[in-house]
Amino acid sequence: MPLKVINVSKRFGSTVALDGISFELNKRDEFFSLLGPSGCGKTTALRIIAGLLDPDEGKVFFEDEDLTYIPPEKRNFGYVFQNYALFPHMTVFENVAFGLKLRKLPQNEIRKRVKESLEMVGLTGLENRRPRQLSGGQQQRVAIARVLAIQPRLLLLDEPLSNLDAKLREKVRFELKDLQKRLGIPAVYVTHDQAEALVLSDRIAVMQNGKIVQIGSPSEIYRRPSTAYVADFIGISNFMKGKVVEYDSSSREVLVETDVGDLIKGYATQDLRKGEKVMLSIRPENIKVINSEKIAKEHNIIKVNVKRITFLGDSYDYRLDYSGWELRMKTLPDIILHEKQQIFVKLMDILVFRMEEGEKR
Amino acid sequence: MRAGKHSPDLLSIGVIILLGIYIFGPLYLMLLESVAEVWYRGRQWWFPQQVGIKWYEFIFRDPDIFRAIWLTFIIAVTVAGFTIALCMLPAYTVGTGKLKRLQEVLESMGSIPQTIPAVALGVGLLPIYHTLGLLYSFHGVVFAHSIGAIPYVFRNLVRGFNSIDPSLEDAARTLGAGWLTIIRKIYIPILKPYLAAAAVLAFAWSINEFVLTMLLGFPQITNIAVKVYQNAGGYYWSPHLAGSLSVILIIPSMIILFVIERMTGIKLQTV
Ligand SMILES: Nc1ncnc2c1ncn2[C@@H]1O[C@H](COP(=O)(O)OP(=O)(O)OP(=O)(O)O)[C@@H](O)[C@H]1O
Ligand SMILES: [Mg+2]
Repeated sequence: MPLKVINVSKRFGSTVALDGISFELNKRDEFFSLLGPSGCGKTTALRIIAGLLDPDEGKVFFEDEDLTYIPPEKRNFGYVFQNYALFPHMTVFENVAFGLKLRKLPQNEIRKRVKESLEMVGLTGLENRRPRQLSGGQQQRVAIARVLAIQPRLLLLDEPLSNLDAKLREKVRFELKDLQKRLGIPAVYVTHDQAEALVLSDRIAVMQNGKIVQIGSPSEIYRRPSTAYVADFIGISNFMKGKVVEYDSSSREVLVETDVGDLIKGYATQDLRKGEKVMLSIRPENIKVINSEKIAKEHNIIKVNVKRITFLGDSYDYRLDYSGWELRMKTLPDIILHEKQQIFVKLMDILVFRMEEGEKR
Repeated sequence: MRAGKHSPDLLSIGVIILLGIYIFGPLYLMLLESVAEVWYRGRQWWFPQQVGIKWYEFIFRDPDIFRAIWLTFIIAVTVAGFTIALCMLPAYTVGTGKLKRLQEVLESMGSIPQTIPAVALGVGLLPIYHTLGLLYSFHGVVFAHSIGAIPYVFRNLVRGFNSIDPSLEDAARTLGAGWLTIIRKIYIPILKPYLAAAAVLAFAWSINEFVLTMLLGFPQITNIAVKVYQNAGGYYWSPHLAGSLSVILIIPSMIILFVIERMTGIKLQTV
């Protein structure tokens, strides 16, 4: 087990930054993401793993070694900071060589490893520049080369792509993942960008207020979010309210009556009781327009009004109105609808969540 | 509006010229005193009849004055080094925001010496120095000067630490650096211009320090400022000697200021 984080908590005064988080990396080359909104404790978790911060409670193990009393300089973890933290008074070469000089490697070995690291991130010929003479993307590459040079046992990446423009971010995402897999170094990646987490990760831990609410592969997290919060945070989800009519605990199939009286069949993420108030969530791509002849009394068919149509190039985004609930529908550009038109749609792959206390959607 | 714009401009130029005379006039006269070998002021007040370096030769031949010059610079260098060493840790604490609660206390403490008149400080130090046997000693004078230099040094170092991104320290640690390496390889190089500013200001403060040197060091420990005072009517009336000593006092500060500004490319902030 490369990394194991056990029940780690951290408080800053009265703020609870981390509230008993636990997770472990399963594979030697696993790419693991901590995903959550700003302030949920991602950086705090990463700093604790790195040893830059002591946890109030809990433990961090690496390859069955308890790291609690090992200072960051002895852990040999590569940490890429959000703002890159390049040494402004050193050249690119000196930045990358910094960790190697501390390891007392011979000069030619240092030169060789700096060269290799810079090649890996596709950055050669800029060895004598200072950080301020580099673009954001180049600085980010130097920051990555600097940690690769020390051949770390674990990569810790704190939103390393957040300062890049959208195009570059997309490109570097794939490069980063390729590089990590090629080198076979396990990575913990922190981000608030769900799309980034989905693309990069082998597994994702979704965080909320200092807690991990779900851990799973990108497809698990996307298809089977464990709470409405996760469903909302990952991708786009539509929500509507209803009441449980029937529930089958073995198949987890649940029949829900919406406020308007339509019957909708979905999959329950938790055990539910009859009559319980629930939240339904549907992805935009799981709403399909149907011919009105077919409606009959089938489940999962509702009548909606087309509110707004937006052309997105490869698809259309429709805002539909269902008795006050706004639903977003995504279709290929081959269906032509008009604003204010009344249509029937079929809802598929519906998840049913228990209404959480204080939830007012 | 157009016509009216000129008069404040002219007025301010006038005031600036007057200010220039006000500041540089005395310096001009002092410079003249130092090089005047023959000067009948009644006949020609603005320039001496004969100029030369007689007074400078005199100064460097007088062992007593020469010792004062030597001491002035040695004391000033020591004061700069000592004050920087003294302020390093508190400036780090305040500048990096490591101890939020201590910050305000330290910040205000750092400027207190500036608000205390040197005479009052000297009077307070006298009995202490007497008990500790520091009176008329080199260290005694260094300590006393250092108190006055603290605000300048402290503020410049705080500004320096403030300018350093705190994640640099974290980055260095995760790359394997211990605290000693971090100080040597990260903090000192980045702080260099601020250290230079602090050193120059402490140095300048010390060579100009008259009251405390007079009260606590004299007669064993004297500096140029004390000698100037002695020759400018304190003990004798020798305006030429006082003038040339003053030039010796000013020149090094000017050279250092110039060199440092060139070297570091930053304007020194004297507050
Ligand atoms: N040194 C600190 N002192 C006080 N509070 C802190 C400190 N560091 C973090 N916090 C608080 O702890 C909580 C979690 O912070 P953290 O930086 O881990 O969030 P994050 O998930 O990384 O957010 P972001 O996406 O904005 O970087 C926040 O409420 C933050 O204000
Ligand atoms: Mg963060």
